[in-house]
Amino acid sequence: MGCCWSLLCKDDNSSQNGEPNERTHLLVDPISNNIHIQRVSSENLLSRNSNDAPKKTDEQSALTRILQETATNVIDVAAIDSHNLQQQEYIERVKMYNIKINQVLAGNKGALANSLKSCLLEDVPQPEKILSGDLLNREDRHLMTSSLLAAVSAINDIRVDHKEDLVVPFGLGLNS
Amino acid sequence: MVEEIKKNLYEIASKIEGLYGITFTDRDGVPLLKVTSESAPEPAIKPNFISTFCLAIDQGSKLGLGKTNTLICTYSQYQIVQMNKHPLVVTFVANQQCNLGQILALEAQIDPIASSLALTVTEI
Amino acid sequence: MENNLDRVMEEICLDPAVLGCLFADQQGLCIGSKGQASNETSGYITAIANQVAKLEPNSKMPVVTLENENQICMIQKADTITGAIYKKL
Repeated sequence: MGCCWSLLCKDDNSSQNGEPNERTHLLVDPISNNIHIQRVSSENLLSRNSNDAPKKTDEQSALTRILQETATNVIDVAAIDSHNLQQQEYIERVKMYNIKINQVLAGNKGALANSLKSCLLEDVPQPEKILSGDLLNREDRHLMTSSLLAAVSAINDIRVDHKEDLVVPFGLGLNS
Repeated sequence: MVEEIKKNLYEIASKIEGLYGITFTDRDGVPLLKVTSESAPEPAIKPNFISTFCLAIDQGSKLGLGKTNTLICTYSQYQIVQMNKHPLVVTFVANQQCNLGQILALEAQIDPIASSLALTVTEI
Repeated sequence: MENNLDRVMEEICLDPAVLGCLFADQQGLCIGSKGQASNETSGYITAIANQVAKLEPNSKMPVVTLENENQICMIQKADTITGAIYKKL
């Protein structure tokens, strides 16, 4: 049976230097997000086809490009692999940042000092004028209360309208 | 100057009930500046938790909705708000009852700090 | 889905003196806004309502008024919803 790509093939390929045999993969691995492997395999493909007509090389590179584009456009949850930082590197970076921060911040101290605000409200000139003003009148109070009640009942009415299936059968019928 | 910024962040954070901490980190979760209270959950400010945000927003950009700005994660005990301030990530850790809208509104206040700190990362 | 809320907000804004209105949930996230009300303020509005409610925990939810020379902002909370109406003076 045909084998598109397996990890075992990799070593065989390098030893046989791109000679096509029954074990060489026909397609570049579209799933793996590992760019390094992808690049190596596409180069293998190209060198393998270097004796063929130039048209074929174009086709191969076009195919490779399509596969690469697909790989960058597809959200592949399984391929998301968090690489953990080595403890040593982490400590070194923390140290480096600490030194750098002091240098950088000393450089644009003036600009930053003005933008450090913790209060949003500003002083009003003549606060006594506003403070001595009338209290909220009855109409406004009624407007607020009745509007809020209407809004609360409207918000409690919010329901998700079920219009179409959340799970869509995908790719069925291809195998049959 | 670092102390002044920390003091400012502490003042901002103390005005929001239930906000445990604000951290500025790089994309790998290495902290540049950290203001946290003692009750902040330890795992939420660890580098591997924060760096997962970067992986998630990289994938999220493929959804066709444009660049990711903010990610809110609501857990049973905590809420985490992360803001994408490329090349930095700002993480807010808060409890379940905390006012998320108020945290989101902090963006304007932390922007100048984030842009200054960003110079630290880009200069390397 | 939110048609009812949209209708309520439109009715509030029918009053010529009303500049805008906004409703936020318990988390301070904006549920809806209309007119001159920025949805970024929903967090602050919820925070103000919650803080003021603590002054008199046993009485009814108060109406808070923020005032400047030409407009007022009324804030009130009911259940988990906080509402704000901006009005010309």
